Amino acid sequence: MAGPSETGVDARRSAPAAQRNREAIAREVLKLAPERGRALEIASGSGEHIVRFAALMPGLDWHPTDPDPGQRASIAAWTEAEGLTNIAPPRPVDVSNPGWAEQEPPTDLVVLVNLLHLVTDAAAWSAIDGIAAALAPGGTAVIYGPFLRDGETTSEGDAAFHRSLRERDPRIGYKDVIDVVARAVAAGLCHVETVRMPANNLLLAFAKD
Amino acid sequence: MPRPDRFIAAAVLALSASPALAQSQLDRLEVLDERMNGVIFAALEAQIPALSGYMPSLDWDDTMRQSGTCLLQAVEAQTGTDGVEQLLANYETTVAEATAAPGDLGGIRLNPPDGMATSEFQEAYAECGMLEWLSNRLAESGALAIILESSQ
Repeated sequence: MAGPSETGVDARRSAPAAQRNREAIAREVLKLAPERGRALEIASGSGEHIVRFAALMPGLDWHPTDPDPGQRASIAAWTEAEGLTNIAPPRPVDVSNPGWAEQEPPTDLVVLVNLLHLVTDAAAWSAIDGIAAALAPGGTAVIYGPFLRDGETTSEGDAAFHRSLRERDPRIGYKDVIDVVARAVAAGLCHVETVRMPANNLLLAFAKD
Repeated sequence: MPRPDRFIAAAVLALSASPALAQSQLDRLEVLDERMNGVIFAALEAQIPALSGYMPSLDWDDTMRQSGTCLLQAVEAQTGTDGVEQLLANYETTVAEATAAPGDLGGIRLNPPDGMATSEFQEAYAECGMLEWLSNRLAESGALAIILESSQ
């Protein structure tokens, strides 16, 4: 895809939340990531996270994905603008389709940022099952986002956002953290740690034996 | 998590309205689901030993029997009585494999019967409240606090 320098059109998108949280997430991912290997990001969105990850972890080959063509254009534009050579062209992977991971090569690191609350329970479990299937033995999965804790949101802002999601579609909204952990364990992953992050978010880390 | 009333309303009527959906099938689902979740909880406890003693009871109550009925009814509506039998057979295989290797789950997957896509089955599973019930039990158990305490 042509970048801004060739077309004069800058496809880069920017999400305020991504700008706010990407440094904190990148620092935690850096602690957990292998030095080398294949890294897959699910639902890369604007691409602002993966360009930071790729710059901070240059030994990994990063593979962005997003079902939205506009987001994929943004990812490609960010990659070119940042001059990063360790990011593959973005692919249209939709993790709500069960079996989505069957086409993925064994992967050493999977990162999923701010997706689970935006999809149905079934899509969330499909994402987690696929992460477990995509990971190579010894691989690590990182899941970041807002979660319910014992069925409750943890701030007024989270409550309002969760409510707005439910009003848009009663099947989506925040997932309970313990459900996510249990589902990941059922999918064959081992819980490594749960890190408290800014803005009441959590970062869940899992490993595949 | 709110449970869609349409599924539950269908579930309440299911046993009386559907002679094909036998009580024995619901009983089998109950036993299998309890065993399946027991294996998952055992794996969770093995990974986080501090959870020992905090995991909730997995025994089905009336709410869960309604959810189970709803699920079987959804499967029957789409695949017929043979589909329900196939689902239970698939479930028995999955549970047997998981029970045989509780320390190495390797990914528990409950396969839907022929004629029902995995995504459709997962939607029915969630919308019938099978997940919500477990969430509520976990929320009451105190397990979350243990998981957060085991973190950084």
